[in-house]
Amino acid sequence: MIYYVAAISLILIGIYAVLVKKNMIKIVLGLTLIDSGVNILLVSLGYVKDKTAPIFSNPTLTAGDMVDPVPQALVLTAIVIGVAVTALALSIVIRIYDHHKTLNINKIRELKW
Amino acid sequence: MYLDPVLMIALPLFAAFLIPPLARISKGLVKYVPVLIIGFNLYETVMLLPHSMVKPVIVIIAAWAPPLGINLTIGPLGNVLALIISLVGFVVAVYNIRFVEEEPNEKYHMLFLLLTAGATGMVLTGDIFNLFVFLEITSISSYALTAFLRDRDGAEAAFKYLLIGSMASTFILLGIALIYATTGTLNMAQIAVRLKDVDPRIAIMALILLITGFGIEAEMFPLNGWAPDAYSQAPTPIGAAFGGIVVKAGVYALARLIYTIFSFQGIFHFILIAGIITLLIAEMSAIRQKQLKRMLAFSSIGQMGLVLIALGLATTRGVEGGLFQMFNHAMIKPLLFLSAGYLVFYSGSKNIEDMDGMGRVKPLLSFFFAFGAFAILGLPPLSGFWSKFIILSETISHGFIAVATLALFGSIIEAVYYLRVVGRLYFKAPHDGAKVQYVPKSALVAMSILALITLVTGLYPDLVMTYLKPAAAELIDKSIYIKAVLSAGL
Amino acid sequence: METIPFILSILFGAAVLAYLVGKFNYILKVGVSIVGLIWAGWLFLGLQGTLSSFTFKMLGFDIIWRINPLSWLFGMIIFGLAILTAIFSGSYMKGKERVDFYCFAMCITVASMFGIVVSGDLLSFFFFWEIMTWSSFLMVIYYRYEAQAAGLRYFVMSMIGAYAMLTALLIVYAQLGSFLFDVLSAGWSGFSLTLQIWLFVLFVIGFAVKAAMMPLHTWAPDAYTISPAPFTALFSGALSKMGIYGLALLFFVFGAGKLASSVITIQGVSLPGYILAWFGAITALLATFKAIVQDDAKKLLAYSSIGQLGYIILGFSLSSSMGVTAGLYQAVNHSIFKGMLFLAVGAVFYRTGTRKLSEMGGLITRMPYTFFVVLLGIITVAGMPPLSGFTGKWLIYEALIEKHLIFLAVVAFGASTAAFLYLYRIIFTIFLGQRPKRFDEVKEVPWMMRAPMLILALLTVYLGFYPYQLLDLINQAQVYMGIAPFDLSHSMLFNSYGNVSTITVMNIVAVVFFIVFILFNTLYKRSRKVGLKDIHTSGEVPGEEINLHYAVDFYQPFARGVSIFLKRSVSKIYASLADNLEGLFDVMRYVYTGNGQTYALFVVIALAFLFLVKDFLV
Repeated sequence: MIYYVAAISLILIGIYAVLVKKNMIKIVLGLTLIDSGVNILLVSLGYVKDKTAPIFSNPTLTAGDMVDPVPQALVLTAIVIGVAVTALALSIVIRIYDHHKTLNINKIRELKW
Repeated sequence: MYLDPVLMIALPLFAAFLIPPLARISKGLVKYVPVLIIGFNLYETVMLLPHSMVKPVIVIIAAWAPPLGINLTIGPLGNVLALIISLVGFVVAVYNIRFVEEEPNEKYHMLFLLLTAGATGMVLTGDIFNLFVFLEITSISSYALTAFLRDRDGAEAAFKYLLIGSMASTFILLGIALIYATTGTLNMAQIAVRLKDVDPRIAIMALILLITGFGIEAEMFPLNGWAPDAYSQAPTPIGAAFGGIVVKAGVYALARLIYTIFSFQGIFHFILIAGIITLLIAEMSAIRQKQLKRMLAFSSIGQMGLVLIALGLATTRGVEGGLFQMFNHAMIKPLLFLSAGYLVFYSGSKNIEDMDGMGRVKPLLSFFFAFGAFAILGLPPLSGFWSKFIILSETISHGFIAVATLALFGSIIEAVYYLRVVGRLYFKAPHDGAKVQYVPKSALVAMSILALITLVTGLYPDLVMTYLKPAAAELIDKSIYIKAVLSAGL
Repeated sequence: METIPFILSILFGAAVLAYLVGKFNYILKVGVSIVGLIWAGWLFLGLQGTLSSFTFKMLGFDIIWRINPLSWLFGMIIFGLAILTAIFSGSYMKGKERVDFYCFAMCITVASMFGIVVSGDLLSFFFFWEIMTWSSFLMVIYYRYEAQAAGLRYFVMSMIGAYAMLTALLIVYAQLGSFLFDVLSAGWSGFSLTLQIWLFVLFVIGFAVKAAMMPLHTWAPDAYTISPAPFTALFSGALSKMGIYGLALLFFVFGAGKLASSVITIQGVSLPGYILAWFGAITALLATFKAIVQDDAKKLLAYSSIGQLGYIILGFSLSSSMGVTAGLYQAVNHSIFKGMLFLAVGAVFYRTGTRKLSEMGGLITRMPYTFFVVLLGIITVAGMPPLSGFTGKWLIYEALIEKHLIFLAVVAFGASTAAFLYLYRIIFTIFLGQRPKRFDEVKEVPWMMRAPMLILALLTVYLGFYPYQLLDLINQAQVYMGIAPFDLSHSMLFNSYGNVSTITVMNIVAVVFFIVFILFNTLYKRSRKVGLKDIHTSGEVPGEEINLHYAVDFYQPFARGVSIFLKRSVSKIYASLADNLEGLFDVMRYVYTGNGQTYALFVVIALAFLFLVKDFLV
């Protein structure tokens, strides 16, 4: 349960940052937070208490002793995607800073209407 | 005879990452790689058509039969959309041969291949998480391509796109998590089967999250704030690719969700209303735009509104009309963007008022633009007429006369702003010193292909409709899809 | 191959071919279009009296192309006028730019009009209707720069009309599941009264735009004026008739006429018909007033054209045997005389380079053939015996009197009388009076332009003698439309108020003409030739520089008199409406604030909203 609460609070904090913070780097951080929250949520979905990692490391282990492997696979993929997006976002932020000399998102609205 | 359909995704991915080393050897060779690879995709989709029309082609990957393993499900719908994507991709790739002189152009071609591969994957996969991954591939390459010109506006547009796009992916991932938690599967067919036993209050939450996520890609109002900026600031061929590829994949995902996976009836009304609002607001916003490509972007949103209306009708004929509209839009909007690209290039300005007299300086280019404008207005005998006609006919047949009237009203607004631009091209005297330049053959070939398809489809709509009918049937009757997938392993 | 699709492919093929070969040779492109039109026209002529039809399926909709007496009648207007104007343009367009484009658009327009009259279902009707709209739009904007505003207005008004029609026909499809005329005419009476009225109104809007009925006429004066002269003839003569053809379909084929018996009737005319009749009559009157005060020859004729179409609508909306005969007769007749007048004005423009009436004068000696054509033209328009216009006007008046519609008749009379003012003006200011020096060298137009005008002129004379030939065709159409044919014999038109023998009329006129001719040549043989300047100038001899040719402010007192009707311009109302609407729409784009965060907020709000209404989505 605690995992769910943590994950959802992370997501909400992230959304808050995205919607309220004016600094673009903070917004990107907010996005990362949302991402992490979702990832934690996914992992905790597959978590079964007192079970081990889904690896046949020990011949005595059976499938019943393990947690659900699928969410873990998903999260691995999602983390990779998240990293890629974050990296791209930061590089775009650098580019914007080069041009605008500011990171305030309210000042970067030349494309409008 | 077709080769293994997995190649349609694997080959572009592989080739995309092969491009940077290849560029070391020969810079000139790189730009032909996308043409070749997407040309292969086009060949594959055409060859697959006769097979998928009869019975969905299920490709089992790594010997894990569905619902356990990841599979490609090439039903009529997926195949038709893959065909559209490959066709647009091919044309844009041909156009790119000469258009993209900006360095480092090998990265451009690489990203473009990734975008096409991602979109193709989206429409072919049978696994919802896989759908998400391909969506991300498409999106990330789109963000990067939007900022490709490294200019002030491109970066700004890319950031907005990225901001909204990542929110979309988060919501989609959440939705998928919810679905997996309740059904314990990621195979779309099996989800559809198991969702019947799930509490609808939870299922609808998953659907809402997914709809919001894919609605962003499908340019549904009010989720489309990124679209005008991204369309207008990305390199022009990418604007065309957004209209012809990315959005189509988004709408596909939306349709798959509301028709095949979930079975809620109320959502259709929502889509219908969202469609008409999207259409009206986009057309109204377009009327006084100063920049040509931004105007085209709004028009594109408006057209997607029409598609959403058609999908919201939830009838066989309505869906057929919607798919037809998607096909037409995928042919016409790139035509407009591609011709606008050179119009902008030659006039040296993005503003509509600087296009004065281009009809004289660049007659062929202006002709293609005017042709596209006529086609998108739905003037016969061009193809836009039929799709609009079918959609409106279905709308009225189901008693939504007000919706149809509003859509027609939007069309009139559309006529005004398109004709104003066409008027500028032809009626105003060219500016002094308008330099007459050479339009590359490759660009002309690209535009001619699109214009020809538009004309032929308009004169003989059944040509396309034959293939759209099974696709629509697949959406309306979900059991076709489910049965085909779940029986594949047996 | 079936004849109808074959004719269509000839026409469309001629268009494309003319455009393609047009890059090489002038004669080739004009030749291709003329030959194509004549060939198609010849094949079409052979379809008279047959009930040839061609059916196929498109996208699952039944499509039928067929010929019947009504469509044959209108088809004849189209082809006759198209061939003559094509020949006329062969000379007129020489040396002009983009003739290939001109020929292309011309052939497409003709093809689409032909498509409209052979359509046996609403789908192909609409399909061709839209082709006609854009192809004629291309013609309106032929002279590029100054044509943009007029062209855009024409296109937008046409779109509004077409979409009203589209809504109507889609409602029909929703009700009946078919686009076929036959199904509609069988099913119309099954509709509820409200639906019938809605459909009627929507269809009428659609057709009235093309027929330039007030208050939907505002595109017409400018579009007629700005398009190339030969095309204007086709525009006014044939294209606007498509609106009339549509009305004929609506009333008598679709079955809106049956609406007549079900609602209130006034003097035996159904209420919708009665209202439409008033629209027609007021159009006729106001357009005539407008025409009188114009200075641009083509604009004058454009308003005249609007007025004449008002008459035709007036005739149709009475739905009586005589009214419909009058409407159809006047439709054909209008095509002939307006065609020749527009061509003649085009010929004058060709030679003088101006359309301003106030700048011209005294061209009678320079362009006698053109003068002759205009003279016959205005006699026909005025509806004076012995030419063909007489029969038309006579039929309309008789139809009105027959129904005891006194006020309408008064308006019609008034408009007709007032029409003579502008008709007189057009012949006086162009051909009579003092010739400006700069036109001394003006020559008559080439034979290629003269011939079409003269053919049309002779046609009016012929029909003046033998309206029977045309009325016979009209009667066949009326039988098809389910209306009692008009009673006539070879040269006699019968009705309850007295019969007319056109031959007698012609004979009387001929005799009177002859007597007057003799009198003038014997009694006044040595009459003094009055010099232009030799008038009652109270003993003073006016100098060369004094203009005695009053072409400027010609009808000023009259204009002042009717100014109350002219003061409010509908087009200005539309313009301000359009401006305001556009301003309103423009507000919408401020939703896109340009701030990425706002967009993100939209997304979250949308999500929250969906969660809020989630119970409705299930």
